[in-house]
Amino acid sequence: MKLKKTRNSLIGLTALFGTVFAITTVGYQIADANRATIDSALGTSSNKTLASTAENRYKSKYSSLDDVKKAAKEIAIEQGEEGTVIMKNDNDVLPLATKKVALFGGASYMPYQGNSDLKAGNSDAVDLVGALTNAGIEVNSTMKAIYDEIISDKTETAGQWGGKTTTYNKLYKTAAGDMTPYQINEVNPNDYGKQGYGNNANWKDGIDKNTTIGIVTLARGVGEGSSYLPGISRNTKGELVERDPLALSDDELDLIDAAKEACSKVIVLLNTGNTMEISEIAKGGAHEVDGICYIGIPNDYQFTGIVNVLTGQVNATGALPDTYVKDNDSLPAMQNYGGNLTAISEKTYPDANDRAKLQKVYDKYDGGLFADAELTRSTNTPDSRYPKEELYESSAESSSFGGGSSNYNTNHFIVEAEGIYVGYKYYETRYTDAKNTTGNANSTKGSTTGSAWNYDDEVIYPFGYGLSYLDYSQTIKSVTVDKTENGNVTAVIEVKNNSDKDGKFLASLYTQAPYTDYDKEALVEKSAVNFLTSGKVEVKAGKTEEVTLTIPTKYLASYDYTTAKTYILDEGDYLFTAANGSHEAANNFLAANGNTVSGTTAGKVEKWNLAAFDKTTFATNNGTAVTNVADDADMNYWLPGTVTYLSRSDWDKTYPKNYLKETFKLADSSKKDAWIKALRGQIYDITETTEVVENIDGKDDGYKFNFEQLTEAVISDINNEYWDKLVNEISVNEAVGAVLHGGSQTDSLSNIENPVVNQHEGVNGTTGSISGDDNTHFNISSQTMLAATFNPELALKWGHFLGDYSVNWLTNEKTNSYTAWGTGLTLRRTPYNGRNYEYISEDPMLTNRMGYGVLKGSVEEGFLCGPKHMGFNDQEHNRGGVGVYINEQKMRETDLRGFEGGLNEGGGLAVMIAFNRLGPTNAAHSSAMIKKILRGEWGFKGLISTDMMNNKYYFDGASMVAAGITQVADFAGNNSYISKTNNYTEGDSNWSYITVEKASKDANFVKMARENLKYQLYAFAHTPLYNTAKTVTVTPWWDATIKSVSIASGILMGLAACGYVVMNFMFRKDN
Amino acid sequence: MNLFKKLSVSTYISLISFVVGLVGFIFYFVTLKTAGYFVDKGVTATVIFTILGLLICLGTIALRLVDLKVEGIVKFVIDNVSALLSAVVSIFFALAAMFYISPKLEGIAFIYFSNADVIATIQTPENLASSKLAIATCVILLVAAVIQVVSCFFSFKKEDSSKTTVETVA
Repeated sequence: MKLKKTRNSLIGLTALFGTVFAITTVGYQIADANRATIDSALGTSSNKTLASTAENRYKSKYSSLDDVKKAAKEIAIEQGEEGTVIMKNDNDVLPLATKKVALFGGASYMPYQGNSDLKAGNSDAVDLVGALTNAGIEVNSTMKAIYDEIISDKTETAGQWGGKTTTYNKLYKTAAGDMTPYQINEVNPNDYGKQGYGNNANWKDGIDKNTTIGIVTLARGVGEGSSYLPGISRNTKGELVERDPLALSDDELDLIDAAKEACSKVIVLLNTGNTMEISEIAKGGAHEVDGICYIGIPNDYQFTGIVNVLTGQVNATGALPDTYVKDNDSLPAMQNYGGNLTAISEKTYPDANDRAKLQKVYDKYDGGLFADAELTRSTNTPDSRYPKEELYESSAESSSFGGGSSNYNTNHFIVEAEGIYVGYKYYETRYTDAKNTTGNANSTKGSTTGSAWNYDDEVIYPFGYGLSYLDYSQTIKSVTVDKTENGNVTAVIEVKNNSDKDGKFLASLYTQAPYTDYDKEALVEKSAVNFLTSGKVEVKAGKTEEVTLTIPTKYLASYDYTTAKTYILDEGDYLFTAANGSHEAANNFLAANGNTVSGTTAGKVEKWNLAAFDKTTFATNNGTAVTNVADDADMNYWLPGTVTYLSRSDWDKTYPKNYLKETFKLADSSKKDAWIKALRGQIYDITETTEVVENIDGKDDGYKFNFEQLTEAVISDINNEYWDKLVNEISVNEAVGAVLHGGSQTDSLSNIENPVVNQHEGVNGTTGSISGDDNTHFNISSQTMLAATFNPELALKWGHFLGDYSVNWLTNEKTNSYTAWGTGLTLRRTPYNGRNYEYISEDPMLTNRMGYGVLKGSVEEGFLCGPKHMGFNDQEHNRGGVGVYINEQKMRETDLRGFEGGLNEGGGLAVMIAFNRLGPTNAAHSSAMIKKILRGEWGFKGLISTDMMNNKYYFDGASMVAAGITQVADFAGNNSYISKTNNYTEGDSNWSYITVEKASKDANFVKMARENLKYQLYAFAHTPLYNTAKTVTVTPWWDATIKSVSIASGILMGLAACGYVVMNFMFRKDN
Repeated sequence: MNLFKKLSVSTYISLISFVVGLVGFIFYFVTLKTAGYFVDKGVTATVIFTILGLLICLGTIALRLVDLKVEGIVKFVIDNVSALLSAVVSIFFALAAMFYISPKLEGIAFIYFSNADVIATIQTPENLASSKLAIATCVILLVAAVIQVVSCFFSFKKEDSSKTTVETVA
């Protein structure tokens, strides 16, 4: 009996150990593939980078963590002080004339601060109430009590996997939802008397009207993956209303009116990164207030700076990074906005009136599908890479992380027919032409009133505008132009402080280039006003200081994509002026051209004359010929004559129509096959060549990524032979694999012993814990407020701090986190993009200068700050596949120009490529943008990442290698290989058609993969990792545990099974 | 009724394992056909291991119920193989579960752990339902494996006192 029980136990143990063996064996494979994620979660490490004994050149300038904390707060407060924009200041409402304020609106008490990446979340963060209180301002307790009750209405939802999400039911919505009506959720003051809404019908009695100023804060939440649906929104009750989500709702206007009734004066704070429609509260509006301030989306400490401005502790020097217009539909870009809306179903919208309201919006903005996109999946033109795949036919954007239904995502497109006329460049140029009565600028096309187009009917606050408390003047004194490839424009601006107080002041430099007959003929567009750069200066009361601003001369040139096919400088007068905003600059230029606008005082204009047309000076950059590289991004390339870009030569005839409603057929193109190939990502085919591939399995020639070999001569010159020899040691399997799977975490490769490097998120600074202090976070910048400072020096200062703390104070000893996607430089094409809060401006040069500062500063500290998302990622809707059709002037002078400052002259060493397409080509497949412009013209030597690779059909492995991508972003895994076992015939885990065998026959392909890794490693050599003595693999405890359990259970399973058989045999023998 | 009287505790537990495994297999197909993130995302290895697990499970139960009238080395082999196959069932169910969840982990992480903005768009009711079904499928198959492990600790055949006596006498 005992024997029998033992036998049963043995078979039970066989099952038990066998099951554990099965689970741990497969589990180990899973864990190994997600090694970095597990290491990050458990605080372990699978690689160790041993530093050399040499002293690292990158040292913190801070001696203690307290010093770093102090510096972080100072920078954030400085951003608050310099980034608060006084848009309206009447009746001496500002600086705050009284010591008492009453705060209205939920955002006054709980400001919108974006998602977790945007908000540092330090325990000593200061909000508006705290900052006002700290400044000695009495915050009205009656209103605070009302909003305490309103805020207390919250729903806490248990997270799917622990944690909880708190939703404040009566506050602004923090997410817009993608192309769905946004709810403007603001408690109407008529409800203050209700239970749960303050329960105080007599709230006005609690405010001393004569001595109290009302502050109303209005917020708009949005987020990644979302674009606002323009033209319609939901009110607080949830009803659909024909009101734009960025316009003021009835509840908000009632709130403002109530504040006006209860308080002596009222200030409105705009707490958003998306420009709002605020004509009702601006001058002459039915709900006009005394003061309006833009505060963007502040982070932990900016409110102290904001309050320092509100109270007049410092002068107001912020300026608007975008144009505020009455109706966003007046933007020509809105003619071709987003589109591809979901069906209006009776189930979702049971009310017929609601469906009718939505239909109006859909009629206006819907569209943008190729009429015959199914051709891309047609069996008549099969895709050899996926012969067995049945591709999903839906028109919706698709993605896949082991699920979903991915396809080529070919259906969606937009035509950016506005050309270079984004934001103020449209309004000021049309204004200039209207004043000069040229180009049919006075036509009704584009007018929101139905009458002749009139600037004052459209614009409320111009770009670059901001009021100063202290009276001052800025006057251009001189301009010198060094017209050479690397020359600079140097402008001296005199800033005169006319007040009796010392203070800081903003000086902004604008230019106007001649618009000639040649331009009209060649379709070269010229904005009548171009912001160039700006700076700030402290000036003593009654004194004058000079500000010297420099900017590369190349930014005066315009790109001629039809005739010269390079950058040109027209002959004629180039005008320069210093002005408070684009409109003042436009008036200065008009006056200089003999057309003084009545009611304005023209500022001084300096001229630089170019005697002859020049198409050679900027026809090369970095030794590379500058010429057309992206003709195929233009719809006219595929279907000639279909798109007319907006031109100041005739505003009426060229005003954009909605091309999203046009019937674009792939089949109608004479280049149909090439078009389909581009849409499918068949940019590069791996083909057998006669050239022999060296070191297919890698070879150790003794070149290592370590301090001994990374000499000054090596680090400073990517053409040093070391780099080629280093990457030639990498096997084909790892060279291709490291590009295709090297994002989020790079892996250590055989032979070269390079360190593993991890990346962080966060446009407001590197997220990540601080060594020895998990409760402190230094991602304390505010991208929106930094933009509004108009101070490139402050951007540089932030860049230095970002680099210093990221390199020296984060827990890098385990993670080697020397890369962060730490700023956003995409152009704000329209106000409705869900990630405008991550970007700088509608203006490429303001973006350019801020990017220059942040990237230059961080790289000087040994940190790789990579801006997102290069290449027209200007809408979130359908971002993973939307084709952005543009001409090459727009390409070079708008979105790319924003990146150029940081990545070219700023020396930045990292960048993330856009999710969308350039024309039909996935931006990550675009060798035109990446190899020719970024690497070639800009001389960029750093790493290039994709956005998250979530679709193997949309992102093509071979094409990305060929385009110059150095790392395809995926979940951090230890997976830098095609085949883990170097099995020549095993297909890559994402792109099964790529094998070692196939790649090894294409010498060019392997060369490109190794070349890409060369740039990647070169970038890492500009971090503290240059000081690596050796990179070794270590086994973290979880790895050892799983392996041990797996091995032990396997052995025990075998022993138990054998034991069972033996015992059974013995039992039988006994019987 | 006599049949049920002949069933051992192990067999009953094995039957439960079979049923749970079958439920797991049904969940597999429900997930496969339910609209959501994992629709049409089949895993061949899971199908193979689940079918094999179910068939072997059923086979070993049948072997316990049927008197094969064999003796000697044949009986010895059949008894041993049958017992070991019972252990294999749990291994197969475990493998089915692990191979099933392995390619879905990134998707599940994407749905549950993306940043707040992305979650707002990806955490649709359909995707949540789909991921919950996928997780449930994995868990059910693992439970089936565990139940089968438990069954293996019990005697496969019900104790028969008269037979035991005969054996003892012999």
